Amino acid sequence: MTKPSRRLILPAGALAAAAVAAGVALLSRGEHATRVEALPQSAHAVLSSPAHDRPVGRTNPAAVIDFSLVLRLRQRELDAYLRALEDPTSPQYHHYLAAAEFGKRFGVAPHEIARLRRTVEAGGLEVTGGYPQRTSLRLRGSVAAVSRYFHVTLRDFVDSSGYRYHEPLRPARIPAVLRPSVVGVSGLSSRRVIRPADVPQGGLSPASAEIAYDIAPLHQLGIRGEGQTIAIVSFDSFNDSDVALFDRQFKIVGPPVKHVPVSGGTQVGGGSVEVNLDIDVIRGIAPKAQILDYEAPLQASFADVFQKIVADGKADIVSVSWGLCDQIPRGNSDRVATEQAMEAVIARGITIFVASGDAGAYDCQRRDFSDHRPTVDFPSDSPHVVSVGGTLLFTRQNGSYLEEAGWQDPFSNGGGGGGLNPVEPRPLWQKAPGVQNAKSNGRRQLPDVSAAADSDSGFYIVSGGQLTTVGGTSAATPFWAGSMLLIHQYVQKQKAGKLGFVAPLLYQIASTKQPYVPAFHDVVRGGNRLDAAGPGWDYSTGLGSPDVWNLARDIVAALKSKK
Amino acid sequence: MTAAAPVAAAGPTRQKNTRRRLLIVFGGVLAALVGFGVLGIVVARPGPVQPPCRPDKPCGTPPNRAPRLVVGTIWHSTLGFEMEYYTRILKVLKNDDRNLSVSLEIPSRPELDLSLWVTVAPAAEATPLQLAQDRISFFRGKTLGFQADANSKHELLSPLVGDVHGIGGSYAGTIDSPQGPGQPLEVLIAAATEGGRSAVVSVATSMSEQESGDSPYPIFSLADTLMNTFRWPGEPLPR
Repeated sequence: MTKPSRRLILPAGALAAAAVAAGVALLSRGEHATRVEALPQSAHAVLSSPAHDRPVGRTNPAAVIDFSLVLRLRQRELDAYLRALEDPTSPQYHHYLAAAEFGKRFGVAPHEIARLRRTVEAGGLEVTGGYPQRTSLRLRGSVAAVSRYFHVTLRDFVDSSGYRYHEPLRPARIPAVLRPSVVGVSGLSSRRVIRPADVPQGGLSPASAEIAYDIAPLHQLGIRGEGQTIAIVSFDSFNDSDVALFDRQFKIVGPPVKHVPVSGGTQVGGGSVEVNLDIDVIRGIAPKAQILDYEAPLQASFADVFQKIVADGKADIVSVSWGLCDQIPRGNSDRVATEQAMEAVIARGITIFVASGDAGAYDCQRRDFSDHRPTVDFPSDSPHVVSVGGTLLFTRQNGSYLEEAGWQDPFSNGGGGGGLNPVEPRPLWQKAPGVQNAKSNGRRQLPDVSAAADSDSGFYIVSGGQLTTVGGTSAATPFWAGSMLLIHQYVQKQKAGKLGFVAPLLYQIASTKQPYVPAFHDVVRGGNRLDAAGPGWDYSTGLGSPDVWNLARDIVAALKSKK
Repeated sequence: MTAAAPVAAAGPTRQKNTRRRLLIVFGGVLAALVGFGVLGIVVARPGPVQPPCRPDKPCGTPPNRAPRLVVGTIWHSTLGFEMEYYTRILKVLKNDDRNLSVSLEIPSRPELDLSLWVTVAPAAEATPLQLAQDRISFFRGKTLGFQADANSKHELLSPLVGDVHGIGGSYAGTIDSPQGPGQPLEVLIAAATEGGRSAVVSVATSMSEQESGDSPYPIFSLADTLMNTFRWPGEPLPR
């Protein structure tokens, strides 16, 4: 607001790049390039550094806020169960749990939940809900009651966009009476820390993506997402008219995309391009799939959305193109809440794909240009997700795959995210040539996989009524999620068993001989602005991008061999 | 008798011989028929079941020989470098064996400003440092107060020329025009060496800095687009 003229520079600069990139995409198909010149504003949720936000006094004590108690799980049993899920010799192998079963096995007992309810209500707080998986309880109360009960002081701040939020000055203190069953309090801050992975400009249509990444054989078999459901995690919304226009443009016929409100839902805002991107990329790959767009306000948490996805029990795959630079200490309530929620997602047999970020190895640089530390994005760095990095895709004149390079834009600070999780250990399944390297320190390494993300090989979408092209790991992630949804359908059709959390299987396929090769395009050029891509797994592109048809058949073969 | 005997004797013998011959012919025909039958079965029998693909071999689709997609014009150097540029939006300032210089020119968007210079040389003639210093001297001659940009927000974290890491940094000055000091100029310089060759790339813009978004100077994304096509000598080009 203070410098409106400067805000025009972003689309202006991007326009020039788009003119080139769109030329690459459009001229290849003999189309006229001018139609992409009317680009919409590239809409980012531009989030400020808290250090730069303006304090504006104590939060109104009478104001009512919503937040959550993070419940204690039987973590040792849960860890053993999650390991057994991927062990073919275990009776628990691929034995997934419904949300209520998860709650029964690993959550606090119902009588204890009843006791918690009575206890907090006696403290002047209201329990507004919970989840069958018993990972958290939703609470509501006045700022005065919350402050008194958890010994916190809430202050209001205003960020550079003028958004006013409240935040506790110190972490909440959990009363002793709650401690046996409660590990934290999440959601006491309404600061907007989550942002979409980047959506720079650039042109893969559904048809060209189908050729380049070898999706066409699945489509020819009639595998187009029929009977499949995919959840998109959004902190914004979309206009139905944009999806309708995309469908008309690319002759797509499929079930209408559903809005699923979370924590009150949200309206179409500055991050709607991100939502359009997720929907359109998935719709181009799996047009017959049911897309559920879980829409939460920016001040909500990932945990809130994942809890609802698990409780609803409808999704087969989840796609997340939002995140925040990971500086969250281990044990932080929000981190614990999100990790627990994602564990329940895995126990349900669902895979979450998460964008690794768009600043290369320097994730925090997008929030603060002066921040030059190698950093990664949360929750993409979680051991409970498939982290998706970015590439620059080169094609042949007939649109087929030529090669890829790790996405790195040194002059404009862009690149696919990759590096080391600051706290979480490397999961047992993260094993493949290249994983153990000179930088390895025992922590979770990312990304796991990658796909086209450079704006010069972005995807066509419709946003704000305009056809445009966008990239970023925001594009690579729904691409992987949509492709895996097709593979899920193919696995079902082949009666090969359950796909489940697919990360261990991806690493197994990448590190053993397979009947159909290549399942992955091993990217050996480019990098992430710090680490170069190279043979095997690397910090820029992970295991590489998929040959979807080969990967589908290899996954089926691998699942059948474990039967 | 003698003659008759054989004749007399020849009656049953001939019959026996004829029968034997018939048997032999019949047996031969039968054996041939059986042989042909067996041969037919062997020939017609489906071979052993082959796996659809051999491990570690491309499978399913024939090798693709379509040429790579080239949209722009390719600049070649006899030193082995190449790079693609787009005359639809770029004005070529210099194009010879060792140099390519372009500036953005979109008539409908005159406010967009970006220039890019690429210079290559044998490493024996110029190190990356020398090439970078040449660029600094060039900008010193065109600007006032040209010096390293101390603003950490503008730092060039990854001085890459194509995929090769090298040296470089960010610089700032003010355009020196006949009318006096002009607009501020932001310059990024990266130089690297590999395989007996050196290369330097410099990019400059007079556009204003932005404080949020992806980078302080988003127009530099166009320089990244151009440098995405930069190839060092010997860098394999998939065909």
